[in-house]
Amino acid sequence: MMLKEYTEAFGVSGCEDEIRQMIKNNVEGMGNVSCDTIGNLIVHKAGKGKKVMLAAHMDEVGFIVTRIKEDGRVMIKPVGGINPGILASKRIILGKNRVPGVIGAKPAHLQDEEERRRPVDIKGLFADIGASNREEAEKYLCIGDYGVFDSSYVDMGRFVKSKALDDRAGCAVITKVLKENYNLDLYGVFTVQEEVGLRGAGPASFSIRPEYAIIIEGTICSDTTAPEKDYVTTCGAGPAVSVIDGTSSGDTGFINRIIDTARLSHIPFQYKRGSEGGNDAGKIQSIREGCITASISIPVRYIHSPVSMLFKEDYINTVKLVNLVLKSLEEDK
Amino acid sequence: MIEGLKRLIDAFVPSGMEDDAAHVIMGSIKRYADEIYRDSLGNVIAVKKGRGKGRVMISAHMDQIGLMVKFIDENGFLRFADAAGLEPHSILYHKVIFKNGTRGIIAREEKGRAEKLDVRELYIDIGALNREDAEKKVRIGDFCILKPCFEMLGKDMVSGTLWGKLGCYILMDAVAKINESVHDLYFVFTSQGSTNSSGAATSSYAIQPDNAIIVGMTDTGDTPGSERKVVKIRGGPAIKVMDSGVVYDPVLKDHFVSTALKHGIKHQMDVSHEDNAESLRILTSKSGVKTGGIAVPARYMNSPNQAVDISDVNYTVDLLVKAIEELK
Repeated sequence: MMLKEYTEAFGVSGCEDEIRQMIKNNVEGMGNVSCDTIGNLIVHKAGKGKKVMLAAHMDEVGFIVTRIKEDGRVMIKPVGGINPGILASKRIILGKNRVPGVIGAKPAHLQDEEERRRPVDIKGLFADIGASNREEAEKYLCIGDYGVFDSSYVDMGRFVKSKALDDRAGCAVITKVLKENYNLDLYGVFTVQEEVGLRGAGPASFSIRPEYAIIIEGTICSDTTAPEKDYVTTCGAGPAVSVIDGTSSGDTGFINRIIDTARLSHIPFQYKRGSEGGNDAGKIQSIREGCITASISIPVRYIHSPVSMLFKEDYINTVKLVNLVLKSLEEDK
Repeated sequence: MIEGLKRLIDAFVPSGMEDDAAHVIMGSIKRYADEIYRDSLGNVIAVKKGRGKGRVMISAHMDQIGLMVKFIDENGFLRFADAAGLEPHSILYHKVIFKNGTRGIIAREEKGRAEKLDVRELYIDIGALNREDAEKKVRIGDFCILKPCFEMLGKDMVSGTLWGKLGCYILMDAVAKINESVHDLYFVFTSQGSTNSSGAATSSYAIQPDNAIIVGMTDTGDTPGSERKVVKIRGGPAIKVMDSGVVYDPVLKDHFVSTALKHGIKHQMDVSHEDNAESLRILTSKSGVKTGGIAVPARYMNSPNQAVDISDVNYTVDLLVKAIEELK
């Protein structure tokens, strides 16, 4: 199961080797596979039609080791946007040796009222790997090592739960779509370092120079945690099409094409109902002379946490929709 | 002047959907341009050939802030998202209009304090009976803009929704008035200038100008309790020295000053700490572009009712035209 394999892989921004290798194994033979200088994995299915780029980022939010204390505590900092409120009592995995650790917290018995209200202090954030002093910890870890949430994939029936659904779900969509053949000059790009400032996508679109780009994202969904007016997306309502977000505006014509395609094929879809956040589209759209972009996202509950959830049918419908949008691009001149 | 500006102000141009403005602009300046086209991001680019010595890009963004409907409640009230980071209190109780003519008013949940408003507490009332009734006029994903308005304050002061419009008007007037230049001139009306400035990035990349001149508006410091700033209304065009993160090309800056002095055009210097993403995108395009800026002093920049003086607008056009014609 590709979603399980992809989401369980290790791959914090700047340290994407494991996930890259895994995707590489999966796309082998689908086209010309290469890795650029910054680390983006690019699959080129050369063809005569329009030059189209699909992009999903393979990095995930996580941690980086900044210091190892005399008493063996491993000081860490978040990489990418993580809500401090979710950090206490989480299991994480650190470094090349995949050392297990936990983010602990003071017992409630000892907390005063003020402390109980406050989330974990990000400045003093540390992982406990069970080492009793620095020397012992340094046998397994060094400064600069990365960490991820320790969270396995769980099939919940209609939903799945895992870490990193943002954006391994997008990576899985592209991997599936690349199996098909299109009358297009098609590039599937798995980008690096999205979570720390959309850094990988720019260089990739600079070298590819696409006419069209579709960004496949795992996006914010608050259909259980906010009033309905602030859901942004809803699980089960289908792929979410972005009109505008913090870093780009979608192309009106292209958005209409996507929506018409969904309607004609009876694929459910929704608009992304908010302008919060941004994704690789912001970079891809504004590189060189620019290109026509659209983002299609899969709603992900509890995003940027170890327990993100995705509605399977939304994922399946996203694969279908992207496939049909690509087919529609084959037709017109 | 007033008529041309009014037509632009009435155009429906939420960021990312610039067709309406593009239509007005292309229609009225086509005859002055040797070539006019739109690119993949929807920028309008009008080329006026000179003697081919170099390329000068003159740009202003043509979009305004759009509000996107994200939810319609059972009583027919609309919730919206904005991608420009508006200050919620600055749009409170202002009117909005949709592409299909539907009107509404921005109101707030009557709890908490108005000065601590979050945009999520605002909603739009379009006078609908309920959700079903609202959905006949408006769909999720639709955009509205602050209702265009235009008033004369006194004899010479213009107030209204000038954001994204006044700069374009100045460029349009300049295209018509410029006689000749040793350079090929690229007048660029950029898209997405109110949000992410993607249009400025891609057009400057494609044109690769030797010099760029950005035209817009700048905040003044001449109103009661305003921030300390020497720029004032009726002081003539503000020649850009710096914005937050952008230092303008000193050669171009000096050229604007000497041109103004030579022709007796009133002017002032503008040192600002405001962000200017458009300038930054153009300045850092490709291997870098010498970038200068001229701005009309405007009061109440962050409101739906900016106010400018006609004399400043006219002086800005004069300075722009002379500066381009005399740029060596």
